[in-house]
Amino acid sequence: MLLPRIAVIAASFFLLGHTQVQAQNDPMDKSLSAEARGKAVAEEAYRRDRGFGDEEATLTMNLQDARGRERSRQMRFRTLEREHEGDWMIAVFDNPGDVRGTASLTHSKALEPDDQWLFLPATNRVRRIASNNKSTPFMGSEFSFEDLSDQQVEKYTYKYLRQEPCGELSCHVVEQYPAYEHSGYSRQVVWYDTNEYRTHKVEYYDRRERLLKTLTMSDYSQFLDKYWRPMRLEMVNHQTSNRTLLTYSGYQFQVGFSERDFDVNALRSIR
Amino acid sequence: MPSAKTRVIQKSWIDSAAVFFGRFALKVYDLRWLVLALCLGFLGSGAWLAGKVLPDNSFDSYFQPDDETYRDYMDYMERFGSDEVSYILYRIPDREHGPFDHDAMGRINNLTQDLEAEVPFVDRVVSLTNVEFIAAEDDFIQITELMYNFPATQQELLDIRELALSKPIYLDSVINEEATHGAIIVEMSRTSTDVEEDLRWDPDGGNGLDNFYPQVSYHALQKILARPEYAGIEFYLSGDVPLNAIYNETLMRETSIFPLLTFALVAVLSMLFFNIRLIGLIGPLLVVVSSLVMTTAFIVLMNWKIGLLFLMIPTLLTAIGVAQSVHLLSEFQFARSLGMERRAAIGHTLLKVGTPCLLAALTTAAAFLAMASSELKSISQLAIYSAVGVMFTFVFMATLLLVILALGRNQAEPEAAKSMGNPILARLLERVIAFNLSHRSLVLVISAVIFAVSLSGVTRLKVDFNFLTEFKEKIEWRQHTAYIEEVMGGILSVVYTFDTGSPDGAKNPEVLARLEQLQKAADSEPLVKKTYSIVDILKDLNQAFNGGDPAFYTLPTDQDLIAQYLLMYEMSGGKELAKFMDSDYSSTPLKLRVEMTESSNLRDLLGRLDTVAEANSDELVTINPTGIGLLWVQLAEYIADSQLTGYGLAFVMIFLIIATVFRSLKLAALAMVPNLAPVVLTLGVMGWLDIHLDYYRLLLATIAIGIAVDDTIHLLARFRSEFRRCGNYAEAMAASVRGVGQALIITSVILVAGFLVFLLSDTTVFASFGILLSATILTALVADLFLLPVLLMLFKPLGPEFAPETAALEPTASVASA
Repeated sequence: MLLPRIAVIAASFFLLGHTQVQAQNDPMDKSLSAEARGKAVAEEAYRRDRGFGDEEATLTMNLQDARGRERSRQMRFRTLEREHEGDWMIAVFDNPGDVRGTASLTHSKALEPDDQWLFLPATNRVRRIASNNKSTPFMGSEFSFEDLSDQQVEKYTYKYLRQEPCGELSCHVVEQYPAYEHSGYSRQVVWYDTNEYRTHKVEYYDRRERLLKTLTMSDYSQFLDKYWRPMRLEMVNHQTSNRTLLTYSGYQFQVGFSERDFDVNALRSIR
Repeated sequence: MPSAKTRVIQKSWIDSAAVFFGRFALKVYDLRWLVLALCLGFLGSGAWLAGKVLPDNSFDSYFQPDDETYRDYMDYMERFGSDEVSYILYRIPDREHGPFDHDAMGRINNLTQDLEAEVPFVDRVVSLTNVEFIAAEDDFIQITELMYNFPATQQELLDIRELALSKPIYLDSVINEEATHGAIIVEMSRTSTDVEEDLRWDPDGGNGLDNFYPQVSYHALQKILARPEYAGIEFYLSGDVPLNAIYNETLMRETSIFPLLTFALVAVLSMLFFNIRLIGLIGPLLVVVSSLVMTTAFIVLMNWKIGLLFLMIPTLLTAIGVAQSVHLLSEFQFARSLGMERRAAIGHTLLKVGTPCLLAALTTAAAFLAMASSELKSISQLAIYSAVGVMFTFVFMATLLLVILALGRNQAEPEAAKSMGNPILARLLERVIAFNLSHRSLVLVISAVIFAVSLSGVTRLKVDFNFLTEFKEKIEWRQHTAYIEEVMGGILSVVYTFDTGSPDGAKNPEVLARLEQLQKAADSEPLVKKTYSIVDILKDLNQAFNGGDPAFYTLPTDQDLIAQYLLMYEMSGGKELAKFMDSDYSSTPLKLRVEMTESSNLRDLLGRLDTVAEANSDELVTINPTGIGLLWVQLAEYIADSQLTGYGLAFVMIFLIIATVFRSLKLAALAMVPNLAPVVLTLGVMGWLDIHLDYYRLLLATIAIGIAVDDTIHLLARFRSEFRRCGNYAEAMAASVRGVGQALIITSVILVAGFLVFLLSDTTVFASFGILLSATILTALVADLFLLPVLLMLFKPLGPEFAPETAALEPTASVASA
């Protein structure tokens, strides 16, 4: 599956572990089993997002609780696409003010835990951090680290459900089940349009099979005549009525980043 | 004997009402099949509605929606989630390392996963195996589970034990200081204050109690703990979920069993001692069941639910319904024994007892209604539906019971209509009459002394209760809770919220320093078993960030550093933040786990902590107490206030009804004495014996006066009637005691039998309520038989005595038959 710019948010921390994926089956082939066809859709979506090189953008996160109280977070991120291994990312927090300048560096990995470092300006020191748990909320939002993390094809098993209209488009609806431990979900249902294989909606079901959240991705823009990015992602938590809106701006591709821009020393100097 | 004058007595409201009831009874007889059909139709609709009733013993059932304390608690819940937990303490007997036995820990690991996967409405489960652990090694920080990689050997596990014991936050939470016991904390996603639709488990599972939180969660817990794979581990289960579930189940079980037991007791007593025929059993049963059905239907119509307080309603209606019926049956049997035809006897009966029964119902209902002003929702609802229930007993007594009496041959059967008279009681009453006539002063002096002593006892009374000791000692939940509190710590949740009112304000080091100060104050209180706050996490993070150096187990003083630590905590997988910071970081809680104790102790504790909180509250931060513990204290205070007000109001309402009906303030004042005295006596004895008033016993006074006044009304009505006949107080006293005395004794014994059923309850609070109320009713009987007659003779409230020949206009059956 492709959560393109969840992956980009992930820009912040845990982007796709980009192993080279070739579609083994045609997603439109109705003779495939539901499992094979579901996986074929995810592989096709993933394949179409490869080759962007590097990118940077600004992300604004608006959080609204059930009582309508709002607050915002802002950060910048840059990503370096890596062949045969996970991408590297740096995220820098700009708002709120007390975390301004806090920066994280993530070297995503396919099957092993990511390597992560965090620079805290209040101490002027870097610490390597690790976590076994990705189901906790990210920055108090309705997105969990799991939502933002590596969405490799291998992390799920799939089941093709149906094809149905989604707005003016037609969508493949695919159910996917986490194949990794400690997921907060029992399953996710994903809507991909049949033209570009962009993700439009994801429903998340908790471990008790109750609908937990719905993610809607919209305002897609195409960059370099190939790469689609949603400018707006809205996650609604049905159990708490809280919602989080992510908006992106200032996308730049192929800026010319190198590996040296993504090491621990770079983390210390980035502002 | 005072000299008698002659005078003409005017017809009063009471006489008109008597005539009305006489004629009404004859109509009922004539249209008996129609009345029966109407009653059955009415009951059928009521039964259909009553079948839809739902139980609710949550805090929501006690508080009005706009109550400030309740709103604060709901606000806390919205910000930080449920604070309800199930607490499972365990020990591993006969194993050298106790809970750190390798095999046992493996099973606890499985149990933790089973609970998280299978218990409905669980938020998360925390045990020694998965409790959050902040680890530091050189420049590497990891937030993980204590046993994320389960130890391969016993020695590895023993090393982890040392690690666990070095973490203050674990002690008395998931492990005790001696490491002899472990605990599993099952945090729930729901609270008892949630709305019904959020508490239903299976959408298609129906409205049964077992399909709702907390029952469904409690039963799942019990089943999982009973699995064979966990045999050999001793479990002790307590916390909010078991407490509420057991309360609800007790309510439902005892509500269905007690009325049956009450009636069985009444039946046996009637058969054995009062020679009541079959109609004497079937008739009252119909009145009681019908009233109960319609009261329940009324609750459904009002969109209410039945709470714990509903438990008293079936027994109450049984007692009152049977008492009403006894008066009717007694008079009917008397009329038949005089040779009246059935139709005339029915007319005579309602003519004689209709008005006193209506008055008795009205005064009882008025006493109950006085509680409607309570700030507690469940008590104000109880006031209304119990009053409605009492009026239903009257309605069914005057219709359904009459119809049952009307179903038979009309001709006179004096030989078949056995008198209800009991020779022993008759002899006893003659002695009472003689005693009253010859010892008026002695009765007054003894009453005055008892009253004075009781009154001084009342001043010693204290409002206090303890949820733990409400259950009898034999109840497993009480034993388990007591053991848990002895070994580890507090079941009761109390919270202080630190609200800055501005986003990110709770990260201010000054605010956190004040939180730390209050936390230290709480830690020094013996009743406080454990405290948790964001300060604990920040200290742990500071230590971890500085290579695990214990010298850095301190609260950072720089806001940027605090904010960045919290970000690091989240990014490293820390799971606790949502429990300790609200979504915009404007507010943070200090959570206390407090021992189950008397509400007065809790009030004192909160008073001391409130002093510290108030000293630290200003424009920077507002510190407010909340949590289940505070609701508990508030509950006690509301009940105390509402009952004191309610009792005064009940007294005034009954006084006004009697004064209006009998057109005499003096008579009304005298009538209140035998009702006030028993309540004062009971409360006085409680004061002297150091028995506290709790939220249930506080209802005692209002209910007691509501019931006791019935006897007084019947005696007064008969006394007035006899006085108008004979014009002489002493003679009227003797005749009225002779006339209704047996019925008064019978009804009182029935009431006592009814309320003594409470002795069988699993809760001590109901059992003692039954004893105290029974004692009050018996005392009221004694006061009605001795004190009231003496007062009437002494104060002459019906005016001067007169010659009997002019005392006419007493309505008779012939009037009713006209």
